[in-house]
Amino acid sequence: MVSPFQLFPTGPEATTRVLKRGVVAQILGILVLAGALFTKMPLLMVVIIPVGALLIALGILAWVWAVVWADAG
Amino acid sequence: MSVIILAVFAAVMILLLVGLTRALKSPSTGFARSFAVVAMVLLPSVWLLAMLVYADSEMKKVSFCTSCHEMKPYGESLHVDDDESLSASHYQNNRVDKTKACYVCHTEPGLLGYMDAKLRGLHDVRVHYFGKAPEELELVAPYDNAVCLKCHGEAKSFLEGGGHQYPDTLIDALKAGEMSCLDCHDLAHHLED
Repeated sequence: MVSPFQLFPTGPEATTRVLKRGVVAQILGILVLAGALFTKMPLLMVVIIPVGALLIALGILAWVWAVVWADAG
Repeated sequence: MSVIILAVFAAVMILLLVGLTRALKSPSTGFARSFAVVAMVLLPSVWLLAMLVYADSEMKKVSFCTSCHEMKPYGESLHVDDDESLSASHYQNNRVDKTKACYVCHTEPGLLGYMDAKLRGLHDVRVHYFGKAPEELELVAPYDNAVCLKCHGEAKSFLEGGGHQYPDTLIDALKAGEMSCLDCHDLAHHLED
């Protein structure tokens, strides 16, 4: 039976790559969310919040993947 | 308030960059891992939470509701000199928080009421930008007495005054939703031509 750890690449290189992408997602998420400070447009507000939250969530997922999952594999 | 949020934002960015360089040089060391937790999980989560709270408070403001031209007459009706108008009398006599008067009187109590208000808001945004608002606006559902009763329900002025005892079944009928508060208090907004 295939272990779930074998389904995705693991090891230091994969960890670094995923972390790098995660950090980029975090920075974009923070910048997008900061847009809420400067807009009063309902449409932008409605778009900014879920997109920013999604990017932040992707960054956190990248951390979970790289530091917890990949290392465990 | 915005300055504090921006300061937190700058701190988050710096920590993320430090976390990035540290974590990518030696991702398995304890220091890099700790930094990664702070930079990639804790601070972004705090930032996200802060921005959700900020956006939520902004979206409750009268100025936000009236930023769409369809709502402008309703915003202006808050300032009309007419004591019969529910919105004007509540707004001008501080019976509601003036900064979020629309939200207070158009949101049913509880978490479900909050969720319902958000969904209706999304619908309104969609119609404003991608649809066509009708000439005469109407509530999407009958006005729920619970909105009035969340403030007035236990008030002495409501229970013992204002003619709410005649007939003696009136208060029960209002609480059960068999009658609408607007059946008698029928001028919600005094719209000027």
